[in-house]
Parts: sequence; C-alpha cells; structure tokens
Amino acid sequence: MSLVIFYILGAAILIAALLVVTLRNIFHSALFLVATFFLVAGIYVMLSAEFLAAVQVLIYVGAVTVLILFAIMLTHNIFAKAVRQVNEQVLPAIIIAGLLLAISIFTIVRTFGDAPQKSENRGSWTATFDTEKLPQESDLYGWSARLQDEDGKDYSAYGSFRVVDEAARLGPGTKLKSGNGAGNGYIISSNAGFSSLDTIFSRGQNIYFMIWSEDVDYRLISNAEWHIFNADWDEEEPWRLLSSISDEDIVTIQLSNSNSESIGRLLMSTFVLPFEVVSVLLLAALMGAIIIARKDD
Amino acid sequence: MPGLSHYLILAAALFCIGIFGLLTRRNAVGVLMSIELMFNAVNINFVAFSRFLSPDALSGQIFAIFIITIAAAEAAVGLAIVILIYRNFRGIEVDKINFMKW
Repeated sequence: MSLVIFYILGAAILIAALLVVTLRNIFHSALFLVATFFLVAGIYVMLSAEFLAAVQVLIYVGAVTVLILFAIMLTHNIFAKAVRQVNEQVLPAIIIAGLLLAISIFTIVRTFGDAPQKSENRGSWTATFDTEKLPQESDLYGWSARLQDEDGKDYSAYGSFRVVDEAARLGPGTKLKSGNGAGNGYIISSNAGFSSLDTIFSRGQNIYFMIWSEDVDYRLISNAEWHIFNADWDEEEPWRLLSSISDEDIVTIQLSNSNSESIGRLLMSTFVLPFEVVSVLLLAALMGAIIIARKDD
Repeated sequence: MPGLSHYLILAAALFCIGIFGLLTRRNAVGVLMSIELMFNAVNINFVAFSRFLSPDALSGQIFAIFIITIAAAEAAVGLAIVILIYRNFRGIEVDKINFMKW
C-alpha cells in the first residue's frame, strides 16, 4: 500500500519537476515548483518526518515560492513576446544529467539494493523522573514500563539505574559507571533496546528514559505505565515496588511519537550552536538582500 | 513498503532534473528554481538516510532543516541579485550577462 503511494508521489514529483525545468512560461514553472514542494512534503510524511514536512510547506511553499513569484513579476514581463527560454546546451545537458542519473542509480542499487531494511514500526517511549522524589535509603533503583497497544497487547520493559549524591558522582562513585551493569534494560520482544542518557544520576537530576523497539508500531501504543523499584538485596524479593512513587511523581510520561519534540530537544541541546549560527546567517542574508536590491540614490 | 534505495533513486532523479534545468535555463529565476529542486533532492536523501540507517538519531532531519534555512537565505540573496541585474541590464538572460567573462 505505502509502496503504491510512494510510486504515485514519486511520479508526480518527477513530472512536476520536469515541467518546472521545461515549461516555456516561467510563471507556470513557478506554479509547478509549488506542486513539487508540496509533494516532497508528502515524501517527508512517508519518512515519518512530520515536522520537516510542516517546515517544508511553511518555508518552501510559503516563503521561497512567494519570493520567486515576486522576482518573476519584478523582472519579467510575462505578457511580452516569448523569449527563448533555453540556451543551446540542451543536448549536452540531457547527456550530463542522464549520465549522472545512470551512475547514481547504478551506485545506489549496488550499495543499497539488497541491504536489509529496518522495520517501519520503530518507535520510542520516554519518561522523565525527578530523582528528588526517590527515597534515599538505597542508591540502586529498578524501573519497569508496561506499554499497551490498542489491541490490548502488552509489552514490558525493565532496567536499572543508580542515583548518587553529586559528591559521590564526581568522586570515587563515578567508577561505578563502568563497573556495574546499571542502565541495561530491554523491552520483551526481539530487536529492541533501552537507552537513557546516563545510567548514574545525581540526586535532583531528572532522568530521561527512552525505550525503543523495532517490533512495536508506536502509533498503536495507547497506554504506558511506569514503575520505580527500590533495590533491597533481599533474597526473597530483591526488588521492592516503591509505594511512595505515585503517578504524579513521574514528571512526564510521553509516547514520543511526536517528531517535533525530539527535533526540538536536539536543536536545543546537541545542535544549539549550529542553530544560532544559522539564525545569524539568515539575518545577514536578510540585510544583504535588502542592501543589494535597494535603489542607489 | 518502499526501501531506502527507492527514496535514493527518487532523489537522484530529482537532482538530475535540477541539473538539467540549471544547465539549460536562460532565465536567471529559472536557474534559481532548478537549484531549489536540487536542494529538495538532497533533503530527501538526508531524511531517507536518517530514517533508514539511524532512526533514533534525528541528525539527518536536523541537517535538512539547516539546508532549508540556507536555501531560504540563498533564495533571498539570489533573487535580490536577479533584481539588481534586471535593473542594470534590462534582462535576466544569464547568457547575456557575460561582461565579467575574460
């Protein structure tokens, strides 16, 4: 099904793009450029990049095309007698573009043609805990999560983590990080894993958990339940459910199927410097465009 | 379900169409439009690689966002230049603007 949609979208993109580069009337070309941008946004949705699809529509369809249409209106009298729109390089251009396409397709098929594809249904769930709320009698904690999909099918995940005082964390306690197996966990289903930003936390730090799975369609997950355990090292029942941890103590539980949230997190953490640099560049381009296009007095 | 190579081939085709337009268009605005097509092809590549090769790290999508930003800046500056050229040459046919050719 999605393959059919892909082929329809792809064919529409290529046809629209061909019309962009071949139509005589540059204004019509610009309108087909809008169509191409819209259809590419559809491709982004197929690749589960919803935020990017929205950005594509806002910036390309909304801003860039309007700029292009403005430039066409300001520079070209579309009612004048038709000027030749293509130069004498059509044949070499066809040869070059065709050759490049052939080489690209050859390389792609050779490199990725029989590559095993990862499943479509990957998803992740996150939960954040405030470690201040954990009782301090022990520093080792366990967690478990139960996820339920719309059909009532259950998935569970578990793992452990350690919370230490800041002094211990910076001091000898940091050795624990490499020594113990804390932070491991997995969802009970094949091809799945658990990750968290860290496995040892300072008291007062928020813990950010993420479970991911290749087998579970995250769009179907309707319910997630998280529990925190305290390690007692009791032979009978080593892990004791902390009754003091109630649902309200868990700061956020989210089914992280929101692509925009993950992108927001990344933009404000790992990519914050490029983000700021790009904003400065955008400002510079804005001022540059105004200065270039301004009439000389 | 379309695989990685489907998206890559689509992007390659879109890129080559952009190259064709870039080489053949006489109108400077048409050239800029072709460049936008190529930007889109590159973005599809980034998102497809991000989706299929490392779905947990969204770096590819972040890069695509940066490319979209750069493309917007490029369009603004490029079109300002086009308007300036139009004002000085009364035309934006790129093969006529050759006074800097040696």
